[in-house]
Amino acid sequence: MRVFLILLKRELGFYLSTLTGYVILSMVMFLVGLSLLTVILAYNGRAMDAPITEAFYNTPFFWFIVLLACPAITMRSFAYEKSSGTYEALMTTPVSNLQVVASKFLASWLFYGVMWLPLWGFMIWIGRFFNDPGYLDAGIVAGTVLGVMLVGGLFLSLGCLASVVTRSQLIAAMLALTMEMVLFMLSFVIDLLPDQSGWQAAFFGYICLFDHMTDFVRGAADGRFLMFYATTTGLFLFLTWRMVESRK
Amino acid sequence: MECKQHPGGYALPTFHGRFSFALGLFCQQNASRTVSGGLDRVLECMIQVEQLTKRYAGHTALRDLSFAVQRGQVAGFLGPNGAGKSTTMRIMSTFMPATSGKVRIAGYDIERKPREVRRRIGYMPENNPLHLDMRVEEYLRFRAGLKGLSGSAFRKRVAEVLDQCDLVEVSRRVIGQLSKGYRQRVGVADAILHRPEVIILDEPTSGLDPHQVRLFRKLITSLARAHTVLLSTHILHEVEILCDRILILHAGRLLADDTKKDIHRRVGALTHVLAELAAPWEALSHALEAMPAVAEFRIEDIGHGFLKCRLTSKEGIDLRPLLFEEAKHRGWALRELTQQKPSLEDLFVQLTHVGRGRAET
Repeated sequence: MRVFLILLKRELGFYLSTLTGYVILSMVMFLVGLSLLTVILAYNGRAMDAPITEAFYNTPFFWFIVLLACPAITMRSFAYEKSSGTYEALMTTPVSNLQVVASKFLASWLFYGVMWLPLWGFMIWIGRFFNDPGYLDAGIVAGTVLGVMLVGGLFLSLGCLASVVTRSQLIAAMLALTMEMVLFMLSFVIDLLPDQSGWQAAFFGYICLFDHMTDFVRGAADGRFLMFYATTTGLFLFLTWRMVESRK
Repeated sequence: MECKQHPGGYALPTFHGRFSFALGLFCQQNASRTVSGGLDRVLECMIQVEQLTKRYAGHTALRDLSFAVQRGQVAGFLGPNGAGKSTTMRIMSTFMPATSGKVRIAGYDIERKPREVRRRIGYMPENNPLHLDMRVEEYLRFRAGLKGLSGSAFRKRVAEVLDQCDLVEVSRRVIGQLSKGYRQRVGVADAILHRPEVIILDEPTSGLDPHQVRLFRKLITSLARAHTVLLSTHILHEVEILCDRILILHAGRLLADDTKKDIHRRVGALTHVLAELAAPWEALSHALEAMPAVAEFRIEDIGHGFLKCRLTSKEGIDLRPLLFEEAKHRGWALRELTQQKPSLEDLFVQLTHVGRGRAET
């Protein structure tokens, strides 16, 4: 456990000691600020028919942030260490492969969580202007945080897998973005199906990231969706771990 | 002599035959005594490589490599780029699996007990990769934590290593801002942090200036007292100075496994003396033939009354004082007397030639 915490601290420290980390934080803060502006302009003086979290989610910036920030966060996790040679130095100390994968993933996830802090700040700030507290209760916020973190976890695990197969950070980022886009685009397949009652519709409905997030931002956490994120994230981390194990 | 592996996790060198089996049984019954024992401990086999082969797609990097290094020895891998030095070291450090063959470090099999092996080795990879954004002391603390050091010993050991590697004055500096010499020292400091039994250094002096190389060699020599060291280089002179054992690799094969004495003999046999003398051809030829230490010579007329001769000695004897005395005795003018040491290339030509000769016979 001690070794894991040392690795985690180092990984987090790297995000905060290099320019990459601050560039990601600044860009996300800028985009979250734009989404705040959009929400204010759209709902100023008008009645809202959905929680404030959903209003933020419905701006075009949410998926933009998730899809672009995740590859930027994970691209360096393995690829940078491999290209700089520090991976060899790391993997010849008495650390386990699982500790390495878990620390890199968790550090990226924590950094991703920090990255979203401005959004929660804006929500709390804007929530003060609502007369009805139902627009921003604890359940809705918790559901939104859970959704944001679960989608992020899934994309970050994909990013880790992309980063472990190459030495180039650029290729790692492109690969992660491609895989994320494929997963994201699958959410549109359900709309293209002629038969909305068949097993195909049920399957694509189950993996539809849009539907998951819509539920989460309304404060609902469906157990099936939680299972979906747990298994897919676990699967990609398992594949990452297997890639680390099978270095030739 | 070969090394026999003890099932309890360490190895002992024994002589061939039944005696080794008998000694193995004896060791099994007296494990703790033998490990802590005097002579046995000195001769304990710390690195044992047996028929190691590494194949990449369409390319064999190592072929049936076998050697053993005893406790306290400084062994040097000598070979040109692509000889397989780094591949062997990467396999030994558990970073990369071998295609076939066995490697035991301090008695532990690298495939079965990789973490035990990692606890016992200090490895500095090729090009000495470091976290350039960290400060020296911060980096060493990070690495010490990864290597399992904790408590009061942790800080004490980091301070000791900083002192030992002469890094105290740069301990607060960012590694990326340090000179190559300092960075190499940080690499070695990292390798020795957890007091490993075996230190593996991949080209530790590459890219250093002559002054830094000298300091670095001094550091490695000081380490040799307490550790078994395996280092790689492509500089012949370096292994001559630093190593007790020299393992010469070429194209993934072990060409020679020499002691310091053997390598001196090899180098001596390939060392030439060049002299320019104002002497009559016949007289010089007779004089050189009469010198028992001269193995062969070649004389060439270079004009202006001077002859140039190229001499090879027997058994690595330095011919310069002998030739000087001869010239002085006969009253010949001597305007040049130099020794030409062989390059690594010369040594390889000789070794591959000998190998081919043996194969043909």
